[in-house]
Amino acid sequence: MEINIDIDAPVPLFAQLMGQIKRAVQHDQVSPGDPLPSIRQLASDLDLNNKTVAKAYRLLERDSVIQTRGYRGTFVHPDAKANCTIDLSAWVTTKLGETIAELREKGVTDSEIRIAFGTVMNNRPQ
Amino acid sequence: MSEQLVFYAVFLSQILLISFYYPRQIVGRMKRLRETHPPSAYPKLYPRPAEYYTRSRRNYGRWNLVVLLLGFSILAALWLFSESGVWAYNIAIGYFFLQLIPALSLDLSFLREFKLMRKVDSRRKASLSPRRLSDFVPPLLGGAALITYLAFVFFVFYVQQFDFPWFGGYWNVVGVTFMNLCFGAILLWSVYGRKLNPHQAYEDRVAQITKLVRILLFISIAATVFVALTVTLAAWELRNLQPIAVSLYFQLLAVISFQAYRIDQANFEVYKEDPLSASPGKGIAG
Repeated sequence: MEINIDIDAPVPLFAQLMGQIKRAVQHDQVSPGDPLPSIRQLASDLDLNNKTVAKAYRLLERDSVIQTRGYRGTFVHPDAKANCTIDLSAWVTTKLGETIAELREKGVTDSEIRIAFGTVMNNRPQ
Repeated sequence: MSEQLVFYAVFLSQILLISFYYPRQIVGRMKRLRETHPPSAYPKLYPRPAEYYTRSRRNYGRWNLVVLLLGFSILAALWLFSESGVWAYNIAIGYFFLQLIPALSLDLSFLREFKLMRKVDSRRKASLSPRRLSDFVPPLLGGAALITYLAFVFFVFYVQQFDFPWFGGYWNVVGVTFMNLCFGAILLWSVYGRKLNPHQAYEDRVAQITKLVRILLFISIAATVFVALTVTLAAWELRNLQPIAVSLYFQLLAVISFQAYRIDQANFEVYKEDPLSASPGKGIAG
């Protein structure tokens, strides 16, 4: 299974990588339990920074699409196919869109929404 | 005298094999590749204008011609001055490194090409299959290299007890260990290192790594055996045979290393114009 990314595309590299791996899972190109390349190998092959690949892997692990088993490496999660359908990014976008629409309805300006969003994000618990 | 004549014949063979036969083969392959895979059909294979490749091929041929003529001059000088022994030994080594220059410059030009390919094309490909060192090292060959190395260490310990004044002792072990560590580093880099050719198909990369690993293991065995052979010849007072051995060893290295230039099985479809390249980001699921 080969993945392709475009470093000039407007889509962030980690998102391209996540999308490609999810698509591979959905199209049965990789099966649950299959080993995946290490962060370093994928970063070297794609000529990317290790941190970019690590971020993609971290988010895929959060979504239970992949799982890391210590020194043995990274594997496709047993429930990866089902978990691939859950797109947290799309859910967040929809949720934020709804909230922003509601705030606008109440008369809150875009500038006030941005400031409030920034304040909330900056004060988030670490 | 007979050893001298044998050395001249072997040295002539070294000159012809490394500076005439293999360069001709490589130039022939480059020409054939250009004919069977023209820039119009395989644009990704040629990131520079066509004249550049013709010029670099010609330069490679000229460099080899210069080295070839120099080799004939050296051989003539050795013949005239009836030289063999230490001089011939050193000349065979020095000349071999000179013979390597055109091949190294060719390899460097390949690296520059790959760098340009990466710059020109923003698309990157990778396989989702993990690579492990154990997948590429054949157990038999790896074991043979290890046994050869250990046998060499015991050999040095054995020779050490005779107190030969010329014998470098444990420095031989240090030298061979360092050489094997260098081979090991190249081996690790080839398996886990950066992908140089951005268009190379994964199967081709795996085949290339497999080939390189085998070549390195063969060279490791050959180099270790050669050092042991040199010591043995010196111990038996057969130093006159050392230049013959060193020249034959270099020819063996050339024969083994030349396998790395074989591209008959490579997948050239990856160098064709990709219809998706015009629309970046296409085909990415989100």
